[in-house]
Amino acid sequence: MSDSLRQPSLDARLSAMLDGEVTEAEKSELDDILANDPNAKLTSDKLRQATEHGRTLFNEMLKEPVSLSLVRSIKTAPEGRRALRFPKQETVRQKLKPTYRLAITSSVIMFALGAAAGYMVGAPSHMMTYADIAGDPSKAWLDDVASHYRLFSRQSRHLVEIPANESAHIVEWLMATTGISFRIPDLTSEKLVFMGARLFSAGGRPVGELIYQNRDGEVIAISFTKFISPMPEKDMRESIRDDIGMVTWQGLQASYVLTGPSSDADLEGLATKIAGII
Amino acid sequence: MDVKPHNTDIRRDLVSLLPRLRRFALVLAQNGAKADELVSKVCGQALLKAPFQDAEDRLDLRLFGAICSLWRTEIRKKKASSETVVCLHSATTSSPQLPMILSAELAAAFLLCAVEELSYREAAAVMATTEDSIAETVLAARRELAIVTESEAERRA
Repeated sequence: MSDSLRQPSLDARLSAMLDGEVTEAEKSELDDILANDPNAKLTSDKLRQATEHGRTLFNEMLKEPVSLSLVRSIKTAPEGRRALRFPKQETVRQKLKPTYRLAITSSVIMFALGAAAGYMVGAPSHMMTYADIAGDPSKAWLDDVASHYRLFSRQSRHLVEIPANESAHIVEWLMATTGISFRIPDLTSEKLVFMGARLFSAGGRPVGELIYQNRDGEVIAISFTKFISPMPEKDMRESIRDDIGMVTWQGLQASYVLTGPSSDADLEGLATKIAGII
Repeated sequence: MDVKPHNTDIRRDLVSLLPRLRRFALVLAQNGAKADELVSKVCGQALLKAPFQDAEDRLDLRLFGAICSLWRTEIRKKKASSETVVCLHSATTSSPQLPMILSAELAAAFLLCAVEELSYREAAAVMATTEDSIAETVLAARRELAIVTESEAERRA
């Protein structure tokens, strides 16, 4: 604390003591005063009660919901990039002195290039590959997972196909159908209750889905299927589609996606934990 | 399996800080929409500047400071355009929805020191003022709150 505050009024010193802004010597001096002076004790109690009252009021403010659009705008914002400027290389300016022959040759080449480009642009395209028709396979599977989540997460009575009490059957069934061996993660420490499982098709492949619910009734789903991407990525990727947040990653034999409400701030932390268990 | 999150970046920290940032902005702006606007602007700036920030800097302190600075700038702009504004040092009361019986500045200093548990030095850096001023402001806030606490106790009795 600064010198000017070392000899202020008693209540100023008591206030500083409440904030832990006094030295040990000052604290023991104030403790002596409080032990011997009932008025000082009364003032201290009043300030302490006022502090508790204020804390309660301020903590109540934390219960107000944060704007969902603000959460989304932050989660989907691109990261800032460092601006790099490379040192300029000294360029040697060459003066053009075209000869008559060089000018004609360049003109002919430019004409030929222009004609070829015009022909290619003007020609109707007949070449449609299967890849063009199918689109991006990883995008297609995520689209399907998102649509499925949007549909079933609003079901209250028909949330799962196989309930959680048939865990052994769930593992056997989904392993046989998807060809992926897995464990059902226990997420009770994350306040998530395992509700059961579903099987559906996404991107033309069978997808197993483990379904959890939090205390607010929000649904968190882990979906997995055989490798979608030919180039497996180790990093997790988070994306938001309207009110749905998705975190995708690749395991040893499968592609995974964790789906939940986009307002969940720690979906990616949860995905990291699941990736280590499943 | 060795899977590392791709986005272990400022965005997650910002989202988890949002309730506290909004509370601080609400204390200053005393208006929900204005508070959201302040928080949104400050978070946008933080995202842009993220690569240039020292990783050892405390993000919450930096953002509290930015909210305070932005709020003051906006107050100055409003003053310049001769609108009716809440004066920085006036003892205006908050809107009835807010649990504040304190002026913006008293409430902000109390929030930082007694609730967020910042030291006077840290709070002074956030509010761009001196430690002595913070100590005086927190005391003034406690006195105001003591009056309210007493009158509430009397009402209950």
